[in-house]
Amino acid sequence: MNALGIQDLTVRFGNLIALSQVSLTVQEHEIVALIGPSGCGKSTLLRATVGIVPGMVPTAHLEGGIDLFGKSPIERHNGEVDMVFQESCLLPWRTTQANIRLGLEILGRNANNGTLPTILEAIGLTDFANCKPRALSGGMRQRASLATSLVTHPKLLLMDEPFANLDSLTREQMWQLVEHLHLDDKIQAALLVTHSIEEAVALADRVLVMSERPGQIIGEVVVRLPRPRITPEGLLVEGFGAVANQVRRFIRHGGEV
Amino acid sequence: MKRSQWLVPLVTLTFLLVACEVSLTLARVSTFIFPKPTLIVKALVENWGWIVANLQVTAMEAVVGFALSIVLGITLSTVCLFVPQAENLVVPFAIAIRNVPFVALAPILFMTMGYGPWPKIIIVMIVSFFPIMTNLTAGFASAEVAQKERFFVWRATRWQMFVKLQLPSAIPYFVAGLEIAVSNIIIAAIVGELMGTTKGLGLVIIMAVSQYRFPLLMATVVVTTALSIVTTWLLRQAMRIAFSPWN
Repeated sequence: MNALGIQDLTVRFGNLIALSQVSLTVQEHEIVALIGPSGCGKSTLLRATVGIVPGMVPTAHLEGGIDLFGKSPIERHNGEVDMVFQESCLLPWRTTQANIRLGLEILGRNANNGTLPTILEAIGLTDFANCKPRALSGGMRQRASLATSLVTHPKLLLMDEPFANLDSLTREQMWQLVEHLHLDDKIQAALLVTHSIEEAVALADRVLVMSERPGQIIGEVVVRLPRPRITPEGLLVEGFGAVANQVRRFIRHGGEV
Repeated sequence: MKRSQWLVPLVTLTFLLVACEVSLTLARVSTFIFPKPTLIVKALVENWGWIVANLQVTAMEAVVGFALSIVLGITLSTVCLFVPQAENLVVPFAIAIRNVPFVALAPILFMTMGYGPWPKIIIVMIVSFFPIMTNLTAGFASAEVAQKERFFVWRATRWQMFVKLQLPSAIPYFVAGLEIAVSNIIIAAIVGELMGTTKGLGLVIIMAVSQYRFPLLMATVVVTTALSIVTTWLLRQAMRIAFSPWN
C-alpha cells in the first residue's frame, strides 16, 4: 500500500495557481524528496497533504485527490502522519522532554510509557531532557523537534525544509541522524521538501523535481546508492556526486536532460 | 537581594534628601511652597496611625478593583478569541469605556452606589482592565504559525489549542499587561476618592489641602508613592513564582 498518493492535485489561492496537476506517491519504507525553486508550491503540497490547506487558509481552493494509507486528509487516523517544520516549533516554556511529550498528550496517548528515554537517546539529547529550548543549540532544537514527531510513531513523516536554518556541518550530522533513524525503522516513510540537492540525494530513495510556479513535477531521479550514504567519518559514498549532478541537470534544464 | 541592589538607591535617596533639606533651608523656601524633608517626616510620624488607617482603605479599593479588572480583561479577551465576531463589539466598547472622563463618570457612580468603596473600585477597574485585555488579546495571537500548524497536524481540539498553545503563549503578554495596569491602580483609587469619599488617602489629601497642612500633604504623597512601588514589587514577585517556567 502507498503511504501517500496524490492524484492531479491543483491548489489555488484566489486567482493564484500554486500547484497544477501534481501526482506522486510515497510507498511504505520509502523516503521521497521534493526539490524545486522557491515559491513553486513544495510546502503548499505538504500542507495540503495533512489538510492545513485549505483547513487554515480560507482563500485556498483544492482540486484532485489525496489519500493517506487509503484515507482522505480529513479521515486520516490521528498520529498516522506527522510533520517536521523549518522552525523548531518547540514551546519555550516547556523542557525538552515536555516538548517531546506534547504530541502524545494531544493524541491522548500514555506519555509515560517508556518511549521518551528511547527517543531522547536516539537523538542524543538525554543529558538535555530537562533543559528549556533557549538552552539548546540550533541543531539540538531541530533534533528535539524531530523527536516530537517521532515519539508518536507516525507511519508517514512530512518534512518541510527541516534543516534549512542549520549550518552545513550540523546539517550533515542531521542527515546522518535521519538516515540512521530510517534504517532503524523509526522513520518509516517520509516526504522531504528541500532546497538542497545534497540533502535530497543523501536521504531520499527518489528525488522529484518541481518546476517554477505553478508547481508541476517535471522529473524523477531514482537514487540507487547504498546506505548509509554518509559514512561514520562524514564522507559521501561513491557515486554521490554523479547522482547530485543528475538532479542538478533536471533543475537547470527544466526537465530536459 | 544583593547588597548593591539596595545600597545604591538608599545612598542616592539619602543624598537627595540631605541636598533638598540644605537647599530649601539656605534658600528660605516657605513651607507653604515646598516643605523640608524633616517636616514631612515629622508630619508622617505624627499622623502615622491616621494615614495607615486610610491607606488600608485605598489599598483595599485598589486591590479589589485590580482583581476585578483581571477577571474582566481575561473574560473579554477570551470571548474575542473564541467568538471572533464579538471583537467588533467588545473592542470599541472597551475603548469607549476606557476613555470616558472620570469627572463625568464619578457623579453617576456616586449617585448609584453611594460614597463607599464601590465607585472607586469601579474607577480602578476601568483604568486597569484595558492593558490587561489588549495585551492578552495580542498574546493569544502570538503563537507562531508553524506551532499552530503542528497542532493542526495532531488534530488538536479547539480547547487543546487554547490550553496548551495560545494560553501559555499569552503569559508574557499578560504579565506585561498586569505590570502596566498595576502601576495605575493606587492613583486611580485616590483620584476616585478625591471626587467624593469619607475614607482613604484621598480624604487625607483633601483635609491636608483644605487646612494648609502641606507637610502632611507631602507625607501622603510619599506614602502613595511607596504604596505604588510596593504593590508593583509584590505583583512582580507573585508573577515570578506563579509563572516560573516562562522566566
